[in-house]
Amino acid sequence: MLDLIDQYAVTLEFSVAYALFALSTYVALRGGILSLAAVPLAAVAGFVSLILIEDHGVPIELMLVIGVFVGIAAALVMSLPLLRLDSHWVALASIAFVLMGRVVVLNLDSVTNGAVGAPITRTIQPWHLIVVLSVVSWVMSRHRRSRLGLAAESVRTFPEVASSLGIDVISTRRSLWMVSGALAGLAGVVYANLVQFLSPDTFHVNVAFIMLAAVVLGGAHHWFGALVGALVFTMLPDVLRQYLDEGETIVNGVLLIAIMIFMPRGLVDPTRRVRRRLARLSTNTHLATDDDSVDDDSASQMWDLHLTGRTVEAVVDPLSDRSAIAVERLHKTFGGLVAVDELTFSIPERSVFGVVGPNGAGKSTLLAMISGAVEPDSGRIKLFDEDITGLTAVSVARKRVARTYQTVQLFEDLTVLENIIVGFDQQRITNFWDPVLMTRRSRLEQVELAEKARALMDRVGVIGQPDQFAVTLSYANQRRVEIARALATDPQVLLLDEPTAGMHKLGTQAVGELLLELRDQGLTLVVIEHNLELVLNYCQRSVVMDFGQVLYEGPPAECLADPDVIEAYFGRKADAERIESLIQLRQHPSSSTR
Amino acid sequence: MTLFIQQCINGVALGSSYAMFAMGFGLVFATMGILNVAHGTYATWGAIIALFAFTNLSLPMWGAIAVGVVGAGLIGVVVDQIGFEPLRRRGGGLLGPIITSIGFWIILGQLALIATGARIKTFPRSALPRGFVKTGGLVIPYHQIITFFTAIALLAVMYLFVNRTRAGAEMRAVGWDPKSSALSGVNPRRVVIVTSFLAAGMAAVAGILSAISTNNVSFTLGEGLLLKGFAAVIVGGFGDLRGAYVGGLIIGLAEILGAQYISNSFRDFFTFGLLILILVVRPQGLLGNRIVTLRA
Repeated sequence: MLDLIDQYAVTLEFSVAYALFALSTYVALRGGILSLAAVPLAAVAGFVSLILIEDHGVPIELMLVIGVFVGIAAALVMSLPLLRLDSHWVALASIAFVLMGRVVVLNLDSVTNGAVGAPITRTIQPWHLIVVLSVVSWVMSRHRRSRLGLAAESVRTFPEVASSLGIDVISTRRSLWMVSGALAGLAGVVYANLVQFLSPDTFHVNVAFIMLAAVVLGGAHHWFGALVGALVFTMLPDVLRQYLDEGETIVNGVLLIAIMIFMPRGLVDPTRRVRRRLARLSTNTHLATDDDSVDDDSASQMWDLHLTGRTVEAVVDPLSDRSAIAVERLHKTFGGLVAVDELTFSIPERSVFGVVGPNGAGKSTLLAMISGAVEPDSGRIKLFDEDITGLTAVSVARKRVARTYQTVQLFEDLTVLENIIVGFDQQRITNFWDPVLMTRRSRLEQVELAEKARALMDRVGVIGQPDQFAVTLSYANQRRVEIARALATDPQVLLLDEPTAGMHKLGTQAVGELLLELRDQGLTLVVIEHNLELVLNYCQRSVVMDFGQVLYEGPPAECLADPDVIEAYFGRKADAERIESLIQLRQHPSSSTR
Repeated sequence: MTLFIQQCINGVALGSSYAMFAMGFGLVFATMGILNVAHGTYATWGAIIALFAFTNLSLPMWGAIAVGVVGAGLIGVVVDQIGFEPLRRRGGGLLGPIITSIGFWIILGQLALIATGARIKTFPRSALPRGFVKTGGLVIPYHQIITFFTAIALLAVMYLFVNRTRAGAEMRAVGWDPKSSALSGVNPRRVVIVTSFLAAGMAAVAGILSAISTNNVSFTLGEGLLLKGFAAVIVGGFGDLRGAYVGGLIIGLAEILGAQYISNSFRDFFTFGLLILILVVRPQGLLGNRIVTLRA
């Protein structure tokens, strides 16, 4: 064993430098920034270390610390143009930075000695490398599920959802970018010291490509993957060199292609086992599509215990005169299509408010405009008499307006509990250092949030384990987790886009009763629904929309009895009769057979 | 003034080879959503195969070029079918194909290194028209004229192919939405194979012509083309052949004029500075009228 370490000592040392490069790339990637900028960032730190070590005799310990700050400073400068870009273009722009870096190095003769290159004395010892790697690993592991770590997950997977939870996408990305810069700075100092010679090609585009590849090879879903990828990429060719005369790096290329085909999530994949099981299950049963799967038989039994049979009729207090949300002449077109047409209505505070209408009536667009995801062309939106027109989604969310989505948007790498905890982001007080230093408040917060999240799971009736991956739940349960996540933000207004889609009767009833319960606690609930039973049984008021306009506004039963509505919504007489029977069902619930 | 015109001619000639490369690179990006890092190695291999065909098979120069282009085209198809097709079936994003292409870039680059013995080779003098046209104080070598007209011809042929033929319409349809186009009777796999072949073939033409202009066949030949072609595509705009062509010319001109009038050693600085400026100010490119929606 010691012989082996001896034999590959140099390669192992280099693999530490590459690991730092790879981690820098990984951190950016974690926030959805596909960037090759670790290399130019490292170059800045590398050349600074050249000057400080050669001309001023700065000791390596101090140099490593300086490297971190140089990396952060360089990242800050580079973020100005880079992070303004759409995520796809960041990759391209970062390549341009790599190439520009080379030109700068070529031309800053006085510092870099131009094309000739400059030697640098090695002062780094193996124990330095071990310390650096340990500290970095500690920070990475502590931040895997920290506040920043969870925010990164949300920003990467569904930026829009992140905003709706009050998480600022841009500032989260900027934080990650700074961390990435710090790691790149370390990488630059270590790498410069190990190669002992800096030339324009030391930090070139080849290194950048290979570092990105190493991260994905090792697994871009866990920080440890970056280490593994860097190790494999440096060690494998070195081992093969003993058996081959030339072309030993070809093996890396072959390995990359094979991994991308057979193991697209890389060598280290924390969800691998779960995914395999899920793949097996989904070929046997239709697990992810509806509630008729195995776990929901027991689920409905559990609900029987919870269900009270309460409907909107039991709500006696009259509707408030004050409106939680009021829209005035709200208008939105997409191209030539009018999605929302001069819409005016208001939603009373502390009410359950239904929005119904045929597909394409503009319901989801309305919701998107209220939540700030889509900016209206004209008109006003008021939240408790405060004008919120044109505010960004984050600002609206921070005014305690939460929402769920028509299609489930859960964070795939997170467990049920973690998914819900993401929603607590704005109430958290821990900063970057708390989890690293394991402060008391960090531990307390962790325990407290886990408890609160569990309570929310119970409250919305999620059937599943807190620590199972959320995407392994049945569809209906995934929807419930989404509601729990939205509730975690402690909203005063909750917008729900088809919350009961894919649920069976008991599930729908449970959601309806939850809505009433939340109303009792002071929330205003806005529900887009196709399920008329839910609207009739649990909404106090509703609007019917068609072609972006209000067709009828009033109590649900009245709405659905209106002949215009019946014609627009159902068209045929047969359906109208169905509605009438539904209304009767609501008026005489006792005659229900269930 | 003569100097300025002379340098403009040089810039356009250099830009023409960038343009040829960029057209294929951009076509692959727009049609298949692949940012192909290995695209430069197609140019390298086109030149290596052409050189081999000329010296070892004693083919005439035009025949050698044809062999080089077809050879590189086939490499492009093989790479696509081995590396990208499985990802496509799974419906991968932008990152997966980049990583796969880095794999092929390593493999094809290393093989080129072995094939050339890490030495710079050149086409024999007998292979090439060495003369030049002299007019009004200007000197225009034949190879510049050939490069310029080849690029124009390729642009015209490709533009007509993409915009006026059924196969081209299918190509655009697949670029827009592979699933819907498959439902309307397009065979996406055939489109992908044709596109890969054409794109790699164009890279080979660019590679061979720039190998002739610079008298240099080496394993790094494609690298320069890749980076400049990539810049050209961004400047000109994705999803539009004319954009890639114009982008190529702009990059070539910026490089030559920047070197002449500002600073020789900083010439790449202007190229890539221009690139970042375009990305920030007008990400769809100068001629692009839509932002290509990538499946991330």
